[in-house]
Amino acid sequence: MRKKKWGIRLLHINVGSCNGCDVEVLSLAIFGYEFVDDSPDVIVICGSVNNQTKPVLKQLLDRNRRVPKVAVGTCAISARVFNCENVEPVDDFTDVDMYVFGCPPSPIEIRNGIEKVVRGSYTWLKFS
Amino acid sequence: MVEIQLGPISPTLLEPIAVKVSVLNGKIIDVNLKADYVYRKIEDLARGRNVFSLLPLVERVCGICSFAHITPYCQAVEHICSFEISEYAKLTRVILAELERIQSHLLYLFEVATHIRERYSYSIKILKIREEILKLLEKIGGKRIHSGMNIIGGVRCNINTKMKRIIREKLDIITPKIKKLWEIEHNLSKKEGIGVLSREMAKSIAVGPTARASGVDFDVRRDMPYAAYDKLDLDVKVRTEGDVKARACLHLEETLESINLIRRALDFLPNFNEKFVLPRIVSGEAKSYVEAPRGKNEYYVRLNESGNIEKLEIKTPTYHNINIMRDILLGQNIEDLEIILVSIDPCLSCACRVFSGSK
Repeated sequence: MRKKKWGIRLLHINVGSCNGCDVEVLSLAIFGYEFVDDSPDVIVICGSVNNQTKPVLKQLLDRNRRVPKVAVGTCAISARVFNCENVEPVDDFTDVDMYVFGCPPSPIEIRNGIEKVVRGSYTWLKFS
Repeated sequence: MVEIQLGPISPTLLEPIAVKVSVLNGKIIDVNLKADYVYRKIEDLARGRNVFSLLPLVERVCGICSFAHITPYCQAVEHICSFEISEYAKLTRVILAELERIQSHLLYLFEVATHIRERYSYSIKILKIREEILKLLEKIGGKRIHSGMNIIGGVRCNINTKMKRIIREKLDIITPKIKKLWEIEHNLSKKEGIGVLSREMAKSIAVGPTARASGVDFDVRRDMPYAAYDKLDLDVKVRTEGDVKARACLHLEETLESINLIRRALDFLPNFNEKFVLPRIVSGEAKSYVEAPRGKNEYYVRLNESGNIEKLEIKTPTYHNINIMRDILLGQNIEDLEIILVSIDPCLSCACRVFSGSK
């Protein structure tokens, strides 16, 4: 792994996922990503939205209007196995700039998606 | 008196949980917990479905301990059909479950280490060890998380002589690395006597490592053995202090014990040469227990005449452990709120499938 700190500030929102995507997003700490709750560079949304997390997500998105959003995992894209009434995918609710597919996607894939949105390009990295 | 709210979305917490505390002179005097944000209706979705088509859903109850959810479900269905799985499948289930326990415990240690906020590099070191375990799981089953290796009637992966060697080599590499993590004991010395859970309360409510750190000598793997655990003599670690430090140290001890268990299971493991047979599904009901990384996990399955699910009931460890949260938080300093919160290792995505979804 390169020693360079990437220093992307990341707001991670779990809106009803199974923790699978969340632990993979957490692994991005190895690349030097910072987890913050205000003025982020990118918003990462995991899981499908349900009744309880709908107001929470709305409040957080209103606070960070111009920040790019990345939907991580199949639940955020189509709600997959949890598909039922009151449970809906993230893009029914807000515009998403980048989808990262997988159940769960690997940290490399999530990183590539985030880099593409924030920096416009990405370089392929490997875990050491 | 001041009211402070933590969450529901906070950079220090993996899952959405809202903790509202009332503080007087720096001490917590009242706690209000809302933990049902990740409700996903799993038991409703399961009703009326075929037993085999339910496997992906049951696996996705939790992303950290998915193997600890699929195993009791498979065991319960196998028990209904009175189907005996092979020796190879039993031992492979042990190996995979213990590998998952190691990565889950390392994630717990990472969360505790980030809340000490003393040394950033220390917590990253833990994540890197965890990454090696996940790579090993990917090598065995083709996927890091939710690998779908466990199915009704056996397991779907082939651990041959070459794979055995790879697992042994990997364990040899990570064992000294995990032993070096004992410095957490020194880092946590300031947190001694914080968040103490009494033995009486642990015995009546808590399960798993949380209860074992308070002196309750109970482990499903030893006391109600399943899979091949009765063959492998397990050394159950118990601590008596019941505080944050004891819980963290117990997790580290259990991680090292899991490595020993995998080594012993690999010695017994026969070569994969049997033909795979699917059980014939009949109606009936069964209950099954496993020791998940967080404690006792309980599954109840009832099948109807056509072999579909009539009722699926899941009782996860956090379902018990979340009840002690209020008692261990009362009277503590407000700056210790987060470390006490993560010290019982709550997994809310496991626990919150059964709460009511209306609001």
